[in-house]
Amino acid sequence: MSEILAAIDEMAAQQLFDTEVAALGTQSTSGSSSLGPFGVSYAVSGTLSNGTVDLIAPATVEIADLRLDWHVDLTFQLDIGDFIPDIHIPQVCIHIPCVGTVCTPKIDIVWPTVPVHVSFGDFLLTTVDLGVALSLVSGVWKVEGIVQGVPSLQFGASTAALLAAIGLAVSAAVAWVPLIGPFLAVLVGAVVAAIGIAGLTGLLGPIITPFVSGTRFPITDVPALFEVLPASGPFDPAVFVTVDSLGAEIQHNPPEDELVVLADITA
Amino acid sequence: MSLTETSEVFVAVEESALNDLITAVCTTRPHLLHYGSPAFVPASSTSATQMAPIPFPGSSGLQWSVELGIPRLDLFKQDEALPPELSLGAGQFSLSTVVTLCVDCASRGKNDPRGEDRPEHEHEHDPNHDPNRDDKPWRDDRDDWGKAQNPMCCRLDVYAVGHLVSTWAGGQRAIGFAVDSVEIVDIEPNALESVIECLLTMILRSVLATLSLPVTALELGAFTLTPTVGPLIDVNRVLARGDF
Repeated sequence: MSEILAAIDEMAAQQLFDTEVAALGTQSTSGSSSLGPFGVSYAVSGTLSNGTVDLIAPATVEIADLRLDWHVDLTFQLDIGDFIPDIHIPQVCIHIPCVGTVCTPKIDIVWPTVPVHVSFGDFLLTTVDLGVALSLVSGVWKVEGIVQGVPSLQFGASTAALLAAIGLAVSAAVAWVPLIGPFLAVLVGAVVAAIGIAGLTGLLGPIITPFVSGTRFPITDVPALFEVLPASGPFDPAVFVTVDSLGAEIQHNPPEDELVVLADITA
Repeated sequence: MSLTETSEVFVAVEESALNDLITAVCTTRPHLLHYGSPAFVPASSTSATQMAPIPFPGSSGLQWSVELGIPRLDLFKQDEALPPELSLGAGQFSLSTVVTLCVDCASRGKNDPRGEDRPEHEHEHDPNHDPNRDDKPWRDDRDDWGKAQNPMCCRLDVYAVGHLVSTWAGGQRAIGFAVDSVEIVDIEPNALESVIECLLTMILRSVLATLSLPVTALELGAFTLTPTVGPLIDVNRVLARGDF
């Protein structure tokens, strides 16, 4: 039996995780990936806010409706020629009596490649299971809740909205291209179709999931050399005890589920 | 039954851990357990606390010292044997320790004139008196400090029962230890035993008044506890409940 036992109920655990999740702040990353047929560079940020904590014995903290607010900035190069054929109208000459030879101009339209910038944000809700993990790092016992596995994030309506945003971004990006007008609707439709829902989820999943998976939520830190009393004068040095072992678990003690920290000390 | 019951936080400290905490305090700050006049304690330090000699007419003051061993606590229910005069009730702790009482049995201090005693007020006209050294409320015989001439000591096994009290330490909520009664074994006659027990009760109360443990130490700072119940003695442990 452990010498020291400290326990909190689910209500206190809720407060604890509210604080810890808020303390994580905004995470961000950038890189390059694929968006359907396009190579894309991205910068993405995500901010977690806590859901509903459920303590499940013996070692799981479930957070339901964990909210992730995310924002992504995408840039990709759109070669219009990949979607609308270049136009080559050769010169045609005809001989007109009394006038001579009349030729039409030769027309060559080679569609340019244009950069497309898309900025979009949304949120999603997910449920994660945290395993209660213990480690001794640099003389500090750390109890953390670590997201188990890779949660499957459901982007839902976000994907349709993001596809629409991409369509608008394409329209804006090619607006300056001469003679694009008649082809604009076709171009936007073709680009959106080429990316598709699969292309979006193929991009968003891998770049946004890390904001949730593997995340460590600190539960408590206990120095292995714990200060019982601070120094308070020339004859009263600080008093320490050694925390020999520390443990953490979820106990089902009806009617409560409780997060319990257990410790043994020596003078 | 849940640990937290209607509260949010629960903390329990087994008596072995409580004794570890007390041992840590007493070994780091042994002066909390060791007091004496200058012949025994030449200066206050981490090891001991210097106090005044006991004033007494016709002498430069009785030199003395009191040193307690690290107290060992047994929380209700009783695990450690107690003298029959003591019983451990619910919510109480028992305490056992060894007290060493010493007096310096020297007949006179080396500066005392033989055969007559000098009135205290003549001290002011003493040409050898250095007012700068007169920073203690007792006779300045510091050349003799730490040199008890004829120390006589006795060791007494002391048992006590007491209860926890709420107090403050370093601005934090803390638990303190209050003595209810003291028993010394095998002193005759009974009147002497009563006097010694009374003396040691007062000493123990004073010493324990300086010995307190912050509530944060009881739960190693794992969770922030604002006690609404306790700390109190449960069966062989101290527990507290409160808000997060």
